[in-house]
Amino acid sequence: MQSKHKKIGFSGYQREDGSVGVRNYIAIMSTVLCTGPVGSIVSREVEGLIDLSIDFCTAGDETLQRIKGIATNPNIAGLIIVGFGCEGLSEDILADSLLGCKKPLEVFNVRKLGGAFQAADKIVPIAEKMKEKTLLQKKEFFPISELTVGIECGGSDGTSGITSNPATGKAVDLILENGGSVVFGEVCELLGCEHLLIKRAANPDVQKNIEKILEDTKKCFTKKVGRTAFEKKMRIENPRRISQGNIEGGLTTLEEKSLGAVKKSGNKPIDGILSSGDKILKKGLYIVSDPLGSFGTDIGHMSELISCGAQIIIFTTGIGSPVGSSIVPVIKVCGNPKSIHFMKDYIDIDASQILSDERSIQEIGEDIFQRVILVASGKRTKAEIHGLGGFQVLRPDSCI
Amino acid sequence: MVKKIIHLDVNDNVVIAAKDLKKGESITGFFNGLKFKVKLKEDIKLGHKVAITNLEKDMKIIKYGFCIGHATRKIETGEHIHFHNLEGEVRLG
Repeated sequence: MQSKHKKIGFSGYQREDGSVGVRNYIAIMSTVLCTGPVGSIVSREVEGLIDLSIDFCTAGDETLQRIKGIATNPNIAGLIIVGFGCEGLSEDILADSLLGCKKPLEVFNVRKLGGAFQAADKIVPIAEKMKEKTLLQKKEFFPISELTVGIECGGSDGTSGITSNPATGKAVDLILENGGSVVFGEVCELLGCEHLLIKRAANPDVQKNIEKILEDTKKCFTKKVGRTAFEKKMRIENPRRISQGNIEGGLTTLEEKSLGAVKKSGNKPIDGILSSGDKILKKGLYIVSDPLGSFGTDIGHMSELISCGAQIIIFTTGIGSPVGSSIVPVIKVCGNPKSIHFMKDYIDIDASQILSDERSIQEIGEDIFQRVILVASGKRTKAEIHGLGGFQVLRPDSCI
Repeated sequence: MVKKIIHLDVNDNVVIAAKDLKKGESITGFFNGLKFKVKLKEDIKLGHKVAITNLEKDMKIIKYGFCIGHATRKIETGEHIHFHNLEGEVRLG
């Protein structure tokens, strides 16, 4: 397998910090919603700009670390930070944390500039210049070792653990065999398959860390949680933290969901645990974990992976999911033939052929791996074609 | 040709519907080294579980070769297995 793939790689953008982007974005990041429409005005005026708005007022060190990791993602060629002036995570605190990150950076304050529209007037020509510079940047050929691929699942159902997740696991194995790195998180959806993760720990230290993050995540649930409206309607007595969609799709228990979810991580050893914002120093397979910051939407979960340098995300789904990301291309893999039919505009890889025996898990895994290379080199995913971006930061140190 | 069921592991006492199946349909396979033929006692939707052996209350339900919970009551061969008769071991709250 290795000799068959030895000359493969992708075309991407070299960054000054040594990383490689698969997209070449100028991003405008507002540190609080009170900056008003600055981000949307500027991103309307300057084609191809991505608008990243942070929607909370305060942030502790862990959240700053996560946002810093997102801001330095290799897909971002240049960054414009806009603050308001009263928020806890102000534009100058964020900019200071990015000193030395070797990314073109412009910093603005809406109050000092007299308002959102005045700020936008000042920012637009600067953003134009930054964008023009990216248009002149040539792509180069890079080996798979320069790729970090994130793995995510959302809208899981009874087909997920049979089709899309194991096929993605094959693709993950191929990425790792070819020198790339892979990150996955959503640790709250790994409870119940601890024994499988621990068995794959690369060494005793990693094993201890895996045990710790699973224990810490379980502790986050110790406060009594109420039943969801669906659980009350269906008279499910014990809250399970699996969704209505999961249940309607055939998943019954958390460990059943987790045993299916873990298959997307493949079979290779787990090399370590990362916190949000940590960059990978040694290529391999890592779990991203910040227990308090693990609960939230799929878009929010993706922020964990993006903050650790993932340039692409493979997203497996059963029910179907339209979510994408403003920062990374998201490859949607679905194994439910009904969802393929209804959600065909959102799905990149049809894994339902595994159910019908038309294709094997290995073959679909190879398809996903090839798609990762193509998408890394510029092929647009369905989410990109249909403008389905998204950006949300889950706070590991949530306060106000 | 779409298979009717997926039997993920030889030790699994449940199989997964690979398509929507109707009450009265037969499903076949191997369990504990023996061929089985089971008549479905109810409709089973795509992705849902069905028992391929009789299960007593508190018996472990095995999927992927691992325990995914226990039966909360007696379950008959061909019955749908879901939250009305299966409880997980991992409890939250």
